[in-house]
Amino acid sequence: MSGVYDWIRLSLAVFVLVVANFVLRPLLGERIEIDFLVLALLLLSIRVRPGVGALLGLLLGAASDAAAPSGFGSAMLALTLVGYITSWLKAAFFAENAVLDGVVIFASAWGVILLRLLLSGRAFEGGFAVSALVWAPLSAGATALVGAVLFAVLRPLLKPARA
Amino acid sequence: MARTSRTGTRTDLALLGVALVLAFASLILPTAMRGRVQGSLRSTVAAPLVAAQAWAERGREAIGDHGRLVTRVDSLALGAQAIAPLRSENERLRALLGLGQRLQWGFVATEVLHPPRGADEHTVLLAAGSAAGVRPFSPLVVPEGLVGMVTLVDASSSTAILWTHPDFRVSATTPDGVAFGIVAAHLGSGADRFLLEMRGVPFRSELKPGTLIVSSGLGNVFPRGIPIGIVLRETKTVEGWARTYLIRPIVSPDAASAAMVLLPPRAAAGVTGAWSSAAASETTQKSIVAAGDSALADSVRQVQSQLTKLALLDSLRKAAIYRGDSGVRIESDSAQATTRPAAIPSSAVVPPTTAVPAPGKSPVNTAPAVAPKPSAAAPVAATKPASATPTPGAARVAGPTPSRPRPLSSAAKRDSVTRVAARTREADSAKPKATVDSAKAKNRGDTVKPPKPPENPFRLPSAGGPA
Repeated sequence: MSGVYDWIRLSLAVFVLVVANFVLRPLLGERIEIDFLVLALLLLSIRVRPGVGALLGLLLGAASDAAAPSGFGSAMLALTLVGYITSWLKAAFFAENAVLDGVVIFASAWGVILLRLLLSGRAFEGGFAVSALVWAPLSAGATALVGAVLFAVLRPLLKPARA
Repeated sequence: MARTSRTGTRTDLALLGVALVLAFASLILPTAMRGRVQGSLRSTVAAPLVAAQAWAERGREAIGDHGRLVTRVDSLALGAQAIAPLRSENERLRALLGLGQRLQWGFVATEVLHPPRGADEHTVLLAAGSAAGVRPFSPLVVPEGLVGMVTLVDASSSTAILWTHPDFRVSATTPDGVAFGIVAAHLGSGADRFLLEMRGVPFRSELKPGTLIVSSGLGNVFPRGIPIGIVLRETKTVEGWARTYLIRPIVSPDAASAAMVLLPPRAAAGVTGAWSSAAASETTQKSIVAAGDSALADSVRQVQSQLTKLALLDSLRKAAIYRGDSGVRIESDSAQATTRPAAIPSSAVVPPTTAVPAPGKSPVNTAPAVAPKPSAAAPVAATKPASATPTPGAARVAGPTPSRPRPLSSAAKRDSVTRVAARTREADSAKPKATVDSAKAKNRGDTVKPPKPPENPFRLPSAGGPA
């Protein structure tokens, strides 16, 4: 990130995604959810170092956990790992390949959902398999689809920083 | 360059470690402390996000509620469509219950099963048979009036013909017994299809449209007094020796879904009063409507003004009488408190009939129907006996009390009191009645006649009477 305007644009995009996560996500569906926080974290993490990405993941996870009824800390842990890993793998986003972007977003979103399911104590409840193997991939796929389109649209505006 | 990369990696790992420690610490916090941390986050930095999420949740619930509300409104609309028939049926059943209360005994409530379209529409099946006491020729009635007659009976059901049946006949008359005839189905076409006709009415008996026709009780099948229909008009017949009237039936045969079968003992005992109250209320309603006529209202106003004047004159006359005997009245209050009325305030113009009721009659019965409404305090003041000790107020409203009462003997006092009481009763009972009658007669332009005794409404017509 070279200029101040780039950071402003990036911050604005992240703010919009975070707000969309809390406003649009409840309206779009109950079973299949689009995780805008993962998209915001990916937008940030590919532009910062892995450690900073982990901290950003921790902050976004705290925001998510604050509004969650249960499983406090699970989103923090999941997004910390996702922020660090995606920042470490940010070279994958430089390929300007929408499919590759989608695959990374899909894996990140599915991993977050699985970690949250596991860490929130619902691993041994009924319906976990369905949630983990049916609804979680569908949600991750929806998130990946939206993320791929979003990244393709925002790529000219949000130039990623060189490693 | 390599050192920078390694330093960055260590820093990244350190930051990752810090983040993981914080995340794990959040996970393994005790529940109470976790709740406090979560609550503090919700109330501080995450408050706008939580508020936005709550707003979105409410929006989603509203969207879901919209569908549910639409479904509920549709269900209610569907249910509302069924309310009107239910309400109608409820009213009919309530009316049937009312008829049952008036009849009190000797009837069987039954469901009327109409035949399908295309079948004999003049015959119905009843869900009560001989086991319930139904016998052939039992009248079939509803709260409005006569429907038909039972013809065939078995153990659990029976068959009845409606008044639309060509074989249906009922001896009928007017409620006052002026005209008699035989009512049967008109068997007309078009709009006159479901009408009745009253045949064989003597030529001298002319019925006006709107006259109620009831069963006459002749023939021992239908008891007297069951409403049948209303006279529409007279029809021309070839006989010429009797009149025939078209009757609009009171009961629609299609509307009779539940009815009552009058058992033979009840039919023999008569149903006097079962329908007369309904007819009386109808008559009262018609009277009220007729009272709204402007000409009649003018007449009533004239009678009221005359009555007011007469009452004022009577009050003045009474006050003059009292004034002349005021000393006697005050002195005799203690002895004749129960036989003499209290003084009437000269300011309140009250007809004498309401001031002092005649012996043995209530004020309501003695007061004329068009009498002005007395004030609330007037009847109390008028009917309350004078107190033993005269109050200054009573002496004041009774008129000017002389400072020195006239000395009278005890016999003269009793005679005077008796004379005053007799005058008061005479003025209260006889004069207002005649006044009202004369006022009404004057308004009609008639001469005043003495009141006639009430006629028997069920008398038979005289053979040699005028047509």
